[in-house]
Amino acid sequence: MNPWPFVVGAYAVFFLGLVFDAALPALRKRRLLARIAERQQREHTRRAQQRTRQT
Amino acid sequence: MNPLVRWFHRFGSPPTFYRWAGLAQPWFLAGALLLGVIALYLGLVVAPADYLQGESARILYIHVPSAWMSLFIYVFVAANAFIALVWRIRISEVLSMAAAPVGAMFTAVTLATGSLWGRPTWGTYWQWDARLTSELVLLFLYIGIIALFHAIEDRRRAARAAGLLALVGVVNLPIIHYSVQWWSTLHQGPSISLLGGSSIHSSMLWPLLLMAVATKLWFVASLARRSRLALLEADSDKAWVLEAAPSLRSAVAGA
Repeated sequence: MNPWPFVVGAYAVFFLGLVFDAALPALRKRRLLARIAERQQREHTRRAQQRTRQT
Repeated sequence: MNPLVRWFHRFGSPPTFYRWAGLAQPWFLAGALLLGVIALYLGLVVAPADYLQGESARILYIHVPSAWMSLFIYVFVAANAFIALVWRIRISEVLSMAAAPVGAMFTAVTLATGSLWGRPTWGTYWQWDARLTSELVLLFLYIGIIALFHAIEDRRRAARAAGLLALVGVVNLPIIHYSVQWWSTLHQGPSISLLGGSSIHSSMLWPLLLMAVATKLWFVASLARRSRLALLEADSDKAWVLEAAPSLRSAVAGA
């Protein structure tokens, strides 16, 4: 049996694991930044409406 | 207060930990990549094929370090869960839960690469022997810890519940380690021992050890990245976050 497809497959699995391990937190961080920016935007709009009502 | 606990509390305060983890992370990542490349070169180019297993023995240069990491990270998860449960140190909760996905990844890689090594060597991808089955149980434990952590909304309660499960799962570690000695298994016995030396030739031992160090450094870098993110998520409405994280400052400024 030719062992090389198994060797290549094993190394591919190993590197895929590392890539996923690095990529998932990066994606989570992007989503977190977007969520915080959205929350700040809502807060900004709410304050602006409050100021308009007061004047 | 015990000086060690006091130091832990001081270093473990979110802003301090966030800053130090941010400084350390690129260095650990660079070290992991450098050692990993050297280990790959030694393992794939310099080391000879095994006289019995042939070229498929090259899989062991990633399989064995991954298996070591799966156990090492579990010990780390359980130790931090214990500290968090006994002394209520928040950073230990964060570290414990941030390490679990990395451990799950290394366990899955261990099982997959072992399976790919088993087919040309044993003639089968899978055998329900003690070592393989207990390693599979370890993967289920990791998945259980991660699932339980995400199933409870209160992050601190979730970390304590998942930490408790991690502590219960510690019983599986000696079973994995000694399974090849306690039972007659298809899986071979240990070739390297901390106390008893090694039965592997140095040309094959070095790539294995270098890859083991590289995976440890990778784990520290990954842990730093994940725990910083967990702190940002938990404290996103607190003042220190905007001061500590420039990317968040710019996100807020852009809003």
